[in-house]
Amino acid sequence: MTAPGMSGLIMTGTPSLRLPGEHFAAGLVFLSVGAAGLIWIAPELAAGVYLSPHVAAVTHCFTLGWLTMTIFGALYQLLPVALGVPIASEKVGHISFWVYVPGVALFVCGVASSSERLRYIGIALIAAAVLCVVTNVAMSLRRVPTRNVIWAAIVIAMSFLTLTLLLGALLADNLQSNVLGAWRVRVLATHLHVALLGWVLMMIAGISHRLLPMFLLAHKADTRWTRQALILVPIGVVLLACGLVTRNPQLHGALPWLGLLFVEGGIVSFLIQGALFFRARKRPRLDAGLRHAAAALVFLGIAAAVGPIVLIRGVTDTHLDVAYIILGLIGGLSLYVVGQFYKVVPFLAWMSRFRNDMGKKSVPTVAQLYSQSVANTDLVFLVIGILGMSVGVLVGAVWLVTLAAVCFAAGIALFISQILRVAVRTSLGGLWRTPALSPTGAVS
Amino acid sequence: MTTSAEPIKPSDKLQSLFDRDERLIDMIASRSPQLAKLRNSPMRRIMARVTTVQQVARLCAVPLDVLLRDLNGVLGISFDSAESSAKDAPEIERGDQVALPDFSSQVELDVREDLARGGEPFSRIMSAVGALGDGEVLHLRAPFEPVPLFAVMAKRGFGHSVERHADDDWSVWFFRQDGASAEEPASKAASEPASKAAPNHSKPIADVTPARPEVRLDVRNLEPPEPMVHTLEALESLPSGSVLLQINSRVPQFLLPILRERGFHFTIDKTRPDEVQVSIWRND
Repeated sequence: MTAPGMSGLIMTGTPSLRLPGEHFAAGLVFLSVGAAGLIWIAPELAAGVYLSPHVAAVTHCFTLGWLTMTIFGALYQLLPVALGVPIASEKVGHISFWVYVPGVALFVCGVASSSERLRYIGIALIAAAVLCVVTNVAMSLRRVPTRNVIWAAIVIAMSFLTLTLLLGALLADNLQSNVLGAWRVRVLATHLHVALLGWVLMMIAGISHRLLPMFLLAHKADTRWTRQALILVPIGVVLLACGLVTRNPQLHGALPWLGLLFVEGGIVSFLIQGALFFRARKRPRLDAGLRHAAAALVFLGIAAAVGPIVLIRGVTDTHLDVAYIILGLIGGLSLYVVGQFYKVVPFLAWMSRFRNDMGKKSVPTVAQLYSQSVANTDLVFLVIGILGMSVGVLVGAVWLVTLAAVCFAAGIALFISQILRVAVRTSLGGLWRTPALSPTGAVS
Repeated sequence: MTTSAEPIKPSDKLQSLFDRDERLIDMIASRSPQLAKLRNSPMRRIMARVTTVQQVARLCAVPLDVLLRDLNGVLGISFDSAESSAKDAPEIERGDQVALPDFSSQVELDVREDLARGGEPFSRIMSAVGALGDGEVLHLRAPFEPVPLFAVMAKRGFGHSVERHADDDWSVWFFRQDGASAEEPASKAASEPASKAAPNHSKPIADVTPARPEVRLDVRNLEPPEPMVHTLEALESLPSGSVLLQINSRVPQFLLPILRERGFHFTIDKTRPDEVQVSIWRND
């Protein structure tokens, strides 16, 4: 009998930690820039301005730099574990990363400084990188033997990512050509919802279907609701998008509402699924990562409740529009990814550092790699920041939005310090002194 | 009554037959208890696409000529025109040798209860096959010889070995053919017939699961990576000649490569609902 070698990999078919690791590191850089950017654009947010280049630049730090970057990194790790196939080409994964990072940086700088050249170079690089990732993932998905809910979620999300890119390119071009005219706001709203619901939420729903029951020990939970979400949200996003961009006056009125109905149904299904996982958990006490995720689900629920009011009031209430985006994008999606980051990244770093010591020496727990109390503190800062920004925008108080943005940035700084702590303790193995572990497992 | 329509041939898929005349569903389904599941629509969608007339004859232990005559009779086609095609039928690989290649571990999958309840185990089988690592084999337990599956698996680069325990109890081992690895696309080995995969270096099936003292470790209520840590700790102190039985709620994907690295052997039993049992031992 033979035992196949592993070439230093965590498991068969899993890429080296470098590929997801570089995505996670870059994602953290963009998250910190985005958090600092919120302080910078606080006066514009408080004034209910969302068509400003500064607001657009900061928003893309979160969408392209944090959410999309982190999802790409997570995908490379998730595909072999959840679907049984490795990424088709790890090399293409690295190439797309090194094209995507400067692309996002140039695009954000180009939008913020209204530089046409930087914007076009940036979007060209982003398009090339996204095309590489979509092709790479599609080739992997073709080889998956059993096409389950996670597989479907990735396919749906990738399709919407491509559509997001096309709409984004159209909007970027419109800044010079003004081909959209007064329709710009509607195309912008379509671009935003296709990106946040079709791309990010669908991917989160698929990944959570695997990760939440695993981390919550909720294997006996009813899992039918993810499927509902995967059906309702895409239909809703397509209807909503068609309704927003059509010039037909009859469809113009009905389609967005029909789309909204499906989208709301899908989000509620996703939230019910999350709640069922949390309810079926075997450990009542939640750790920091799962608390972040739970808080994010609450924010997502609030954003979903505000959605119909936004559609009724349209562009007449820009304060509400901005608060809605803060609740959904930063409170719901970005915070959820922070929570998953707390679960996944320390685990992968721990595996890489201690895999050879397990069973042979005393090893710390994953939770001991970072401070639970600091993680809980950062959650308090983040929640206060998101709530403060939302309320501040609604009442038009610059001081409150600024203060809340500072609070949010402080929470992000604490979060990043925690991840750096994990990186130092695992990458620089010599710093971890196993004998220093106390009998209670506390880290000295 | 005779007609000049194209006669049914041994290589015809059941789907093409059912497309021609739905009466053939009942006619074939009534031939054996295993084929009765063709009356079930979801089951039929899967089986009919991959099962040939020749395979049906083998499943029912009916001479191919007789089956062709009956089937063509339903369509009003004379037996004579069908008879010539029966002679041209390619021989099906029987695959009944009790021989396996060397392997590091085997994955257990029992679909007998699934089929008895009218369930459709195809996706579970393909899922288990897809998760096989290099050097692993799938041990499938079924209530009949799953002949249609052999061709499907051969296209994916898998050979098979069959053992009949009783009329309604069969064991089939699926293993990667020489040259096909866990990370290779199945199409690479698609042209290789199953018979060519039968290895010369074989081992008796009785050696697969060692009869040794068992140490049980239930890790279902532990959050990752605690199950892995506890398992590896338990293995370090495992008495010589014993087997560690890990009770888990899913296949421990991160643990398996570490076990291989450290020279352990394991089998994975996924036959129980909501529970996976991994037997781990070291050859002393």
